Amino acid sequence: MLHSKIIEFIFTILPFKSWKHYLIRRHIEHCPACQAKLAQEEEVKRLFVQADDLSNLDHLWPAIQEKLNSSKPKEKTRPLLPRPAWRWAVAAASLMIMFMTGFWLIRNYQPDKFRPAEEAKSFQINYLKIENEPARTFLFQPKNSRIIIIWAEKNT
Amino acid sequence: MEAGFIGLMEEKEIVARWLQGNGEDFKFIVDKYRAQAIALAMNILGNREDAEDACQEAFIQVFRNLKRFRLGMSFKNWLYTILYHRCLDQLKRKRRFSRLFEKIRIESPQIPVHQASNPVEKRPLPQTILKHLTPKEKTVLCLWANEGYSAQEISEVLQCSASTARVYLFNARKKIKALLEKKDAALENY
Repeated sequence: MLHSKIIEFIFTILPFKSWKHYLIRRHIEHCPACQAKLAQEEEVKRLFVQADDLSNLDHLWPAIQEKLNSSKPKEKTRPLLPRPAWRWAVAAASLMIMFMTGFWLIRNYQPDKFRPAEEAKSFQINYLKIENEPARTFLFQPKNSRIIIIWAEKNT
Repeated sequence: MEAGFIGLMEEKEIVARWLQGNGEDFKFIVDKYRAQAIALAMNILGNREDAEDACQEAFIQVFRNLKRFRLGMSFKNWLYTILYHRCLDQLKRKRRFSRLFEKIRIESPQIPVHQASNPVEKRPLPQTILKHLTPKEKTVLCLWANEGYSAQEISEVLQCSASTARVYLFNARKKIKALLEKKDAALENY
């Protein structure tokens, strides 16, 4: 009795039907204690209506015939969405593409490439020309800023 | 051709003939399977009117889609698959209707609603037990007990794997056994 309860517990906690199926085939089908917890064919049969119990079935065919004659089959329309099986395939393919793209982007990412150049301690402008003429140059540095703006204009 | 003669003919032969354009053979298909189909539908739905409606729809669907039937498979299983889905449709329709009915009853209490004093009283004993089973469990049990189907054949009807069908059958048998053991309580209601 105890082992039957243990099997029952294991059966309940098994997450997949294939595992449950394995347990049924390996143990439950051969174990008398476990079989005693299952309804037998005769017990079940008594609860259900049998084909032989039915009478007065002759009106079924005329009713079907009438419906067949009165209504024509609907024209087959193309479904707006793909069938469920295709949806899964499309979703799986999309995920795969996204994964591959992400992988490729990460693989080719070079952080050094985008690192700014090191700051110059000093710089020098030898000359500037605008339209082949020496230009006037000015240097501006905003207060409290490390930005230096170079302004060049035509020397008129 | 008499209906009794059909028993001697192979179902595949009838279907093949019908596919070749012998429309008369469809009547024999209906005559051959009507009792079993209505019994299955009654066991799923619980009453004859709904069962006959589901059967009519199933046979009409068979008539219109027979070209899709693969001769390699069992015609009876194919018919049962269609019938099972039509029964589920019937149940869905009934559920929707009963929800609407409930809503009307709540919103307008002045409408007299005819109701049996005790609905359980009028229900036969098997129905009080079977109402605790899901349509899938009823189908699995009915095919197994009435038709002698194996898990493999049940899986063809339910369109699932044989191992899944075996698990469904196991669960349904266990559930009905537990219900039968509580039969005394059910008998009190009866």
